[in-house]
Amino acid sequence: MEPQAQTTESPMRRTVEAAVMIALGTAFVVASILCQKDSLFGKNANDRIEAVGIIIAAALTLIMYSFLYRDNPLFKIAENVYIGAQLGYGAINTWRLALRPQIYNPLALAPSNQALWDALVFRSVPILLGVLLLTRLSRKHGWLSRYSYSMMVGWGAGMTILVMTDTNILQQLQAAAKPIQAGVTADAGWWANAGAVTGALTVLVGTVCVLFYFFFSIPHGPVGQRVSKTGIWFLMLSFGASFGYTAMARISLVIGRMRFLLFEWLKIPQ
Amino acid sequence: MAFTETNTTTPRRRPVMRRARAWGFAAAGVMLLIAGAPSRGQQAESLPASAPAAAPASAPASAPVPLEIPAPESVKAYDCPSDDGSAIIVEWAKPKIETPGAVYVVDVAAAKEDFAAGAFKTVQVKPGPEALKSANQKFFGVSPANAGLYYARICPSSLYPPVPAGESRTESLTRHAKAGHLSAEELQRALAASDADAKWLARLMADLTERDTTDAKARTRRINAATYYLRLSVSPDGGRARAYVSDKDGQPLVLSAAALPNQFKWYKLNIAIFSVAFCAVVAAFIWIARRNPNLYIRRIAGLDAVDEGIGRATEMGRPVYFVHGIAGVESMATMASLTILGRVARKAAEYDTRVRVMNWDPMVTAVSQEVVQQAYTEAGRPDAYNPDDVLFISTDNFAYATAVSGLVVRERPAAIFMLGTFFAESLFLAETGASTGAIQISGTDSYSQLPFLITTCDYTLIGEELFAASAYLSREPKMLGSLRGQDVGKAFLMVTIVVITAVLSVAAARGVSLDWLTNLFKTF
Amino acid sequence: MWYKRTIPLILVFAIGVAAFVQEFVPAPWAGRFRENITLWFQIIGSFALFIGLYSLLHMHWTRIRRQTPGWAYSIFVFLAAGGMIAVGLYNEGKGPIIDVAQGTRTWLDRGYDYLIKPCTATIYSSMAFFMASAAFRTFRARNTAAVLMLVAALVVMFGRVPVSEVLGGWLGDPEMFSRITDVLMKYPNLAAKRAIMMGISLGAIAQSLRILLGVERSYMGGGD
Repeated sequence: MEPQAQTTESPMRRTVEAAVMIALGTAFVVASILCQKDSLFGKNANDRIEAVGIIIAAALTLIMYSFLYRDNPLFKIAENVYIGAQLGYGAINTWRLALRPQIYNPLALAPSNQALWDALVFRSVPILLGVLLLTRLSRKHGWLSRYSYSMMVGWGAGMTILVMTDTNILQQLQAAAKPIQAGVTADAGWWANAGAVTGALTVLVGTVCVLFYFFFSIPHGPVGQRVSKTGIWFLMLSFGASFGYTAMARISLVIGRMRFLLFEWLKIPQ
Repeated sequence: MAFTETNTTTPRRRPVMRRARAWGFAAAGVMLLIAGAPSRGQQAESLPASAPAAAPASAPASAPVPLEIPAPESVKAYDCPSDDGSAIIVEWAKPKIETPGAVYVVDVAAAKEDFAAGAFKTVQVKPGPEALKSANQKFFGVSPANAGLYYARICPSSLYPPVPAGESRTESLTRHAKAGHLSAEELQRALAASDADAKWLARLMADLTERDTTDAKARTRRINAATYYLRLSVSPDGGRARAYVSDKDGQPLVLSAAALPNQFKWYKLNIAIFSVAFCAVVAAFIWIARRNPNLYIRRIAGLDAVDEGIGRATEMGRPVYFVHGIAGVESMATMASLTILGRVARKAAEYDTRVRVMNWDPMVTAVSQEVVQQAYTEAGRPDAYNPDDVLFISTDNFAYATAVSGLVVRERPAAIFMLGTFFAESLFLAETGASTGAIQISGTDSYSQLPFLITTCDYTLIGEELFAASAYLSREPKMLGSLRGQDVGKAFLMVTIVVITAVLSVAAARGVSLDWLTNLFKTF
Repeated sequence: MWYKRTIPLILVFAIGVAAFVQEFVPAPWAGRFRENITLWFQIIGSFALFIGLYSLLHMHWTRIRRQTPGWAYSIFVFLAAGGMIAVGLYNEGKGPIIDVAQGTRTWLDRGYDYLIKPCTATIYSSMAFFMASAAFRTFRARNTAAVLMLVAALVVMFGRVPVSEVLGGWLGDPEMFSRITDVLMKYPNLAAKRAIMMGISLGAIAQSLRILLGVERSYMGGGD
């Protein structure tokens, strides 16, 4: 793939884009005021806040879509607001869901000496490990953080062995362990029977060929290459089918955003 | 065998008794129950055959109840296998012919004498397919014999609950003070709590309730672990009249058992065997590889392209981007990517090319900093390492994708590595990268995202190839040995699938059932 | 040095074996062990947030300080993060310690609904457009595998829209395309998916074992 040349922007193009942006911005403000005027200039303070919120949300929606055309200053602002807001929201959630109930409440708000002692005994090790994790911020003492994350790595490794054997090996083997036979119902026609047998054979052959494709330590001879190639075809058919299946689901999400813009921002009666 | 009968409205049917001696008992003495007369909150009480005097005069003593009673030798009581010690199992053979509407009743008592005193609890079991042991393969396995055995699951702690009687706050506080959970001053403060102390008192009571819950769990375990005595009977009328399974002397057969915590989930035995066997094979090949380091490994294009990508970035004077997936350090896909990161960072450091690492997880950020710092040290340029190049972006998938994409279009990296577990955001990241003309090498264990990465990236490590990366890139014999172990595992799976399908097909054609074979892979 | 690398590696092995073994033990001690270790990880993980906060904010602060091109945009990260944290701590006047009554619409909720949610939903929905360009990219690659993939994708896409029944009707069977879709999903797709999942699990298990045995230790940095 050849690298694309760094986009050089002509002054003309920049002027046109700036003009379009100003026009769109003005149109957005006018449309927002016209469509949300009842709430914006109403007496209910809550409605006013929600109306401003909807206008901001609509602006962010349109700005985010503008990235499909190209990067632009408004997108850069929206992107940084998005990251910042998400960071702040995540910090507050960590405080509310982890730090406060697990550290602050048991230690700072212990109702009795015994409760404080129990909390200290149980929580001192993880708190120490948490503090050790912060040593990562230092170049010299960063190795101390290994004590903290090595526990998680170990736990993950142990659980992976178990979970993978259960869900992806045994359950798949159980699903694969089926006889290849004609239609189960006695009155199934010749075509249905042939279809059932062919289908089951296809799954069997496909599974074996794709598994073969993943062999690393055996040189693929002429036969092996053929099997491996068949495996690739199965892979591609599968990826294509999966692609098509997901594509249709994503279209409904676009419709969802359009509904927000039309019915909540522009308040078009449904 | 003893049986009882009290209900004169029960339609008379031809009795179906399995053993002739039952007739003898039936004719000799009918056990009569006082229908609907509960004793100490219990259900109906039965009287032993040897005490006919206790039978009410109204009950006819002539006709036997047409009930099939399980054979006494089939009745067993034992600790429920593979459980945490919360249940006792009583099992008995399913009679050949069952009386419609009849139920099985198990009497549970803490002491043998409690039966005579009527101080026992009852558990009813409605006969039916779901009451058979075969309906609960998780605990009883897949033995064909289970289809002929009924069972009752007795939870002693639900029959004898550990909850203390209603206690006032003062009583509770005093009890906890005695147990050392409160000091004398704290007790005084709690007893004299004013409105100003209401919040503190609420926290204190919450703490004490939590202690009570923990205590209750311990008491529950003690209650379950005690020995209980059990009797089995059949009732034609929902538990009032009973025909007891009796011993040789004609007395109701009394069994005993305790619910004890077990140390192994037998229903996970196949998982244990498969995982240990596979680990043993991989470990064996790691060991063998130390002696025989010349192992063949096929080309993996995506991994060969690692050096190409970094070389290209060096030529163009642009950075290399390493984009981690959406998973923490406990994910093996993340661990595999970290190994590749080590290799990428070291090469980049050698070529004096800037490598920027994008992180979704703060913990992975910490480990990535460690890996990159180490790579720069190994390359002999520890001072060139800049921690700001290993940056945490966001823990939200789409915020992460948005920010990384923004950086990609602005900094235009020459090579982008996208490795790890990805979700819907993968396409956004990969398409943006592709639109800038960067060489993209991706790898994921997320099956659903592979189609998108394949279409948009120059090289994609499909599933297992991602995990092979560390061995492939390092070329260490021990690592390569583990790859050979993986291949043996794959060969085993291939052969297993083919052989089992063939065997099952032949069996199906001959009308033979081989359920035991498929049950080998059944998991719970 | 042994305390820099050996002890963490021993810790990895010990915790890994414990994680594996406890899953097979039904006795209550295993459950308590699992609950406690989960709680420990939650506490340790919450400290990791500080690393994240530091990493992101330090990077943006450096950009502002050095006035690198586009530095002004970094101010918005601080504004948005600061704003969200401020309203979260203010918590409708109740402060960070006490929760507001259930069902109260807080400023933090509004921040989420009007700043985060629209961005997330829009980026997610924009995948539909990216899919179109990805499909086009595949179309340009002229090899058998790519063609096979594209044809399968188009057939499945077509099979899932109502217009396929009209075309199918003209060809004699209105359900023709949905049938082909079913066949593709049920047989070749299942075969490949099954093999990929099996391969992934074998790879992940081998990776886990390499980590537990300390054969793979690059994540641990240097220092032994």
